[in-house]
Amino acid sequence: MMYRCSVFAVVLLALSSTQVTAQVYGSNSFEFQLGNLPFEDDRSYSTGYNQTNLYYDSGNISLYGRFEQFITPIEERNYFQLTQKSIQFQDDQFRVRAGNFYETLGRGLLLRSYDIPGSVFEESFERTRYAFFRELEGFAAEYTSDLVEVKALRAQPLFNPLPPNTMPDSLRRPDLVETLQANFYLNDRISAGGILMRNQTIGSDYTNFGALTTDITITDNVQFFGEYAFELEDAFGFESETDAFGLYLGSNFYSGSFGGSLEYKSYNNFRIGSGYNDPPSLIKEHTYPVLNRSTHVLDTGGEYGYQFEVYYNFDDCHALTFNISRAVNNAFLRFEYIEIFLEGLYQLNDQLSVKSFLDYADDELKGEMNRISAGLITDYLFDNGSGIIVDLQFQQFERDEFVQTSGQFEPNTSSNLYSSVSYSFSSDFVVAGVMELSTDPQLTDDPTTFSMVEDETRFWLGTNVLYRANSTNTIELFAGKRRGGPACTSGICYEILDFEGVELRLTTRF
Amino acid sequence: MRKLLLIIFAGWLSTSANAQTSVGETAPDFNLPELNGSETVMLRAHTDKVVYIFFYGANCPHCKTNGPVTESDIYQSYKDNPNFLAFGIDTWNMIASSNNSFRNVTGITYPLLLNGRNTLNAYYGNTSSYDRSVVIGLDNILLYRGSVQVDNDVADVKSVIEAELEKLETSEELDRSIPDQVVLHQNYPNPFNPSTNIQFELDQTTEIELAIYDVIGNKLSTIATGSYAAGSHSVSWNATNYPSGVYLYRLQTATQSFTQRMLLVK
Repeated sequence: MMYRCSVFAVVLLALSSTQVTAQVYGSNSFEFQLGNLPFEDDRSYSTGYNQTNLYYDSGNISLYGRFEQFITPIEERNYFQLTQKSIQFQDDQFRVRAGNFYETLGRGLLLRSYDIPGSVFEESFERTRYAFFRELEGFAAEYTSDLVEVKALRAQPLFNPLPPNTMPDSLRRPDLVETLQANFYLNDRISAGGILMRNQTIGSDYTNFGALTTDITITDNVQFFGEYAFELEDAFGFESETDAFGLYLGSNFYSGSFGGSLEYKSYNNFRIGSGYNDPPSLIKEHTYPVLNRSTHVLDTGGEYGYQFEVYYNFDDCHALTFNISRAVNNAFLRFEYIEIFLEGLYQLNDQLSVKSFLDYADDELKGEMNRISAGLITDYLFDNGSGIIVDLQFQQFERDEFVQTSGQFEPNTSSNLYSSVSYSFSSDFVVAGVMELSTDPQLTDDPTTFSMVEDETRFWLGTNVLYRANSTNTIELFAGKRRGGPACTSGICYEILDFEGVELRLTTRF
Repeated sequence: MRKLLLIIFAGWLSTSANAQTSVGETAPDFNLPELNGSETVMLRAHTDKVVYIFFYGANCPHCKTNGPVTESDIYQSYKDNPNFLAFGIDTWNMIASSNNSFRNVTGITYPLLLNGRNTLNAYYGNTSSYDRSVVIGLDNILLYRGSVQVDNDVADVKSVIEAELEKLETSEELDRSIPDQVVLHQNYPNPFNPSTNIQFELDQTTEIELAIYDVIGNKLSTIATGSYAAGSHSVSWNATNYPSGVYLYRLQTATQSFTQRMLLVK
């Protein structure tokens, strides 16, 4: 493996030296951890994770390779792999790709791949770290003109919950996807298209899917779009509990400083293969930590709902955003999620800005009711160019908890607090302290002591330092305890583990 | 250039697969604490049962939405069968509180077992394949290991469970029908005219002879002879040509002999 990766690197360098117009560039990130995963046995040791992305461009040809390496004191967990490699030809109208690539069909109802840059996923059982992405391995070709865009591909999506060191790459790709997509630009305002796709999961027969898409600019400031995807034998059924379909409709609109969007979803029995389709979830994705980790995760097995958002930008740089989203899971039992969110941005003067939010949610699936979250983020810029950000966020919810002594579920109120102070000496040097508290029994209790229920408030205290040495090198240091939990980026949700210790990340572009 | 590209893209990565258990092999044992219980549950204590397992993650969203189908479509279908057991196993190693919430949301009434991440790894070779159904049959043989989320293979799971329960019940019926000793029953009806039935049971396959004698010991008729299987047998004797009176019938096996009396009344 080491030899193969070395050959790849050397070949790229050799190619670059023999082609006058060619260029090689890339990036490298290295993350070192010395610490512990709380409540895990035998997990207190150092790990190193390194990711190198190499690009080679020469005329119409591009090559790409991603190397990942994981180093621990336990030899069998270590790996050094070329986890992605691709070649691409592209001109004004054609693009052909082979190897590992990213592609999303329509709006992702049938197929969506992604790479979350900088994310390092940790699998706790083996304590393995690897990049969190889902690409396709195979071949793709596409043709684009003013009138039509046609794509065809045959590839295997990655089942990314499986770390690269646990099983052969073929078993991490249990699905085979073959698709043909055509999108026609009927005029400047209307496009419409269709998708044919078939999937074969290991040990199963092919399943055929289709989709219809459209994108209509009704007026200059009103746009409508939608997609209906379905298993071919269930086309336009809608009624049957077993019919497999996904329906997504949306509209954007604006008028001066006012704007908004309205979206609707309905997914039924629409988990394709091992779950590589990621339709729009229509749940507002927050950057505020207390809200981001409280998000609702879409279940394509049975869910419908809507999202409505409006905003208004005031002349003096103030802004208000209102969002309401509702999702109903109805695969077997009915679970409803509803969230109402209001956010304000206030630019008080050239140096002081304040951001606030207020959020109310009921989440039956999590059993969290009357969940109220609020936050106030104050950003002050000093005359010397330095600045300070004070971030306070609070959350409270009710959840029935099982009480051993009574043998009954009884109501309980839990709270979460997030606070951080960040001081930027300049844009290149930032020091921050983060403290979090929680009284949530699901976080205060120690999972390794079944007979005892710990209910003392749990806290996390950590320090972050960011230093950009120059335009290509960045150093990030964390020390302390960091709270984990669900995290969502661009509609992709995954679990981040708690960590306590020291973490150093070096990022380089070249 | 072309050769270089071939070198670059030749071959895929090779790593070794972790151990997993295949269908037909003995299912890995586990000994896990039961939610809200003081005891642990060991698989090897249930070698005479059909065991259904739902591997779930207590905080896994799709496990929560899919969990109810394991209760309604699987557990409720077989819970009254004494040969059937169901367990949920939390593979996220979450605390009791999270599992109680999981139980509350899903409405699952069968036992939930905690701390099962190692168990999942033993079955699947990884800890990422949760929201899966597994069926274990007699002698803890792994009969079914789901490869999709539990809402997608309910019919397959039920088919495997039903086949194994049927096999178990047939086996039990056979067990019940095989006596533990040789028995020669009293004929019925008795007294009789002109025919009667003679029932006997064998504890093993053996050569037998069933014969009719008069009261002074003369053999009048052999009504059954040859190899007979273990179990219950019935033979009819028609006495139309014999006068009223007491008769004897004797069952002779390779090692034993049994005699009964009967009365013919004309």
